[in-house]
Amino acid sequence: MKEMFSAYLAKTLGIDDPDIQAELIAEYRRTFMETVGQMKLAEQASDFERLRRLGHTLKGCALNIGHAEAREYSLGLENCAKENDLAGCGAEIEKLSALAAELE
Amino acid sequence: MNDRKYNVLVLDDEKFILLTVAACLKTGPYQVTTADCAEDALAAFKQKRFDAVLSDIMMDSVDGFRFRDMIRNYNKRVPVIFLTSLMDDIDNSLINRIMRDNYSYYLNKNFTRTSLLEKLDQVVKTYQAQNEISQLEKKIESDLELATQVQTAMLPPWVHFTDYYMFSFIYRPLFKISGDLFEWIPITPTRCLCVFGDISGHGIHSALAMTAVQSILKQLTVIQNPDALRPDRILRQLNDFFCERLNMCSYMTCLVGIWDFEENRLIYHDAGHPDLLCFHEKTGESFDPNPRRKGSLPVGMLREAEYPESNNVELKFTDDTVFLAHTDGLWDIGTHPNDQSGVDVKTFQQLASAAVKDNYVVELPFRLAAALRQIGYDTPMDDYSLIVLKKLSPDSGKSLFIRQIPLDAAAIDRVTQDASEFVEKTLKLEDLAGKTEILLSEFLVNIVKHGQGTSGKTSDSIALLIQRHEENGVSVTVLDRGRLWESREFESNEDLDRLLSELSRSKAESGRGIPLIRKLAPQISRRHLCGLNETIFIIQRDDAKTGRKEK
Repeated sequence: MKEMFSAYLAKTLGIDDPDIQAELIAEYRRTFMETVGQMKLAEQASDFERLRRLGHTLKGCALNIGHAEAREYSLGLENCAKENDLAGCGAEIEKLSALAAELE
Repeated sequence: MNDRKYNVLVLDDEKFILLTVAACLKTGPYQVTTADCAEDALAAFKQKRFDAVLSDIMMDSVDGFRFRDMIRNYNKRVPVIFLTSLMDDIDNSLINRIMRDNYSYYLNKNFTRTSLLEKLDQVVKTYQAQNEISQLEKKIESDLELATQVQTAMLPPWVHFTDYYMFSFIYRPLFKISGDLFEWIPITPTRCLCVFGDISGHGIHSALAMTAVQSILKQLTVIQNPDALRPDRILRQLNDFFCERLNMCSYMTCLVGIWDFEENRLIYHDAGHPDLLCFHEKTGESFDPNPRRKGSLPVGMLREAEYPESNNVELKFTDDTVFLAHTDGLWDIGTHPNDQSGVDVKTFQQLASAAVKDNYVVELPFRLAAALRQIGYDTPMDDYSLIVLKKLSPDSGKSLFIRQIPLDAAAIDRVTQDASEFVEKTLKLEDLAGKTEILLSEFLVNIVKHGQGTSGKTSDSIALLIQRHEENGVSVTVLDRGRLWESREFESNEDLDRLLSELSRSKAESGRGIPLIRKLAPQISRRHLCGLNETIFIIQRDDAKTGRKEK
């Protein structure tokens, strides 16, 4: 996955310095983990507005690093949160958690 | 783009996005400042001049739109690019909110380096161009301001009294500067050359031509023998100037006249200009000075135009003749912006007839402009000027004191003393002479010190007219072109009496203000006539005010 991100950063954003790439990937990973953790807390509190915002935030980050699956699940979470669909939100968070495990 | 680095401020509450954008722009012509909250971004914005701002929309505390409002308090036009997940989020309401501001743009968060650089390049260039245009506009504005001052400085004073005649005029450029011309050149104390003109077009082009014509006219009168000056000759020289030197790039309608106030003789030549309007002051009756419609083409229109001497109009006039010259812009004053008909000539003549007999001639141009405005003609479509010229009868000094006063303390001092002498010796109202002097000293100094804000011209003049009012009073009329005077509340009568007695002891200096003026002249009327303030003071004996009869 790291190679995929590096290739995206170099090709799409012209960021080909390996040190910067490493820094960005590390920051993405940190953001991803933290956001998924917050999503779980918001799910427990049935806080749909918070879930929507967190989905939106992670979607934006995923778009910037070429993480298509993360973008898809985040968008799914955002949409479920807009419709107050707690079960749907839970399913999307599950998928994002699985991706988080891959990132580790 | 040149080698300059452009400052870009990036606001996003996600550190990852900030790092990505900064890394992406690292090798471009941009210097990036990042902030993860609106407060920090605003602080950075206030410290440095930014060429563009990139901002997320949805943020936890202050959102992107609110942040835009905050920076618009400091800069109305800096471009703001909103980063949004275009494909997923964009809808009409979001686009509308972004586009509500003319200098806002959006970019998909799924941007590539190329798309980001292209967008930045586009907005920064647009912003630069707008700034350059804005600077150019400021420069043009300041040049126009200077041109206005130069043009105004080249005009004769708005009012002028000699021992033999007087003139006054209102000069109204449509926009700052004008192609209207009024030139007055004294030839001898009793003779003068006046040229009224209107150069084709408006604005800088015609104003420059006007300035050139003014200097040519001055040269002509210096070079030529005064006795050889004749309207037809002057017109031929002006025509040569327009055709040869200005290469016929514009033309000028004009009326060139030489007045002889000793012989009561006028000789003039009308080159396509509105003819003179003439009135008898006593009756207001008008008469046609040029019934045979003599005249020639405007100068600069035809190289071969002849301006024959036979087309000069010769007129013997009476002492009470009032001459009114104007440019054709006067007829173009409309009642609303699309009014094609303009001022009706007959209506204007009726207004002028009435105004001539009931008012001081010196006020006439302003009074007529105000009267036109009063009946709805308040939308000029062209520059216009209105000039009045009249002989001063040798006897007028026996009943009327008239002066134009330059705006300086020494001149005011001289005039107030002269005025006092006039009231004392000519009107034989000895006891009102001191009051007149103190009142004038106070009021005129007030105008000079506080009232000249509007015209801003130190070369401007005040006109002063004094005559008897009923049996025991003096009417003092002051005409100035400064700020409107605003009356304040009275102080107590005791204070005024004390002030007056102090003044009597120490003699007039200046600047003690309106309460004192009110005390000296309880009857004061004040009017504003299209740029001219008219203040009339009636000074009366104390017994006249209280109704007691004189012994």
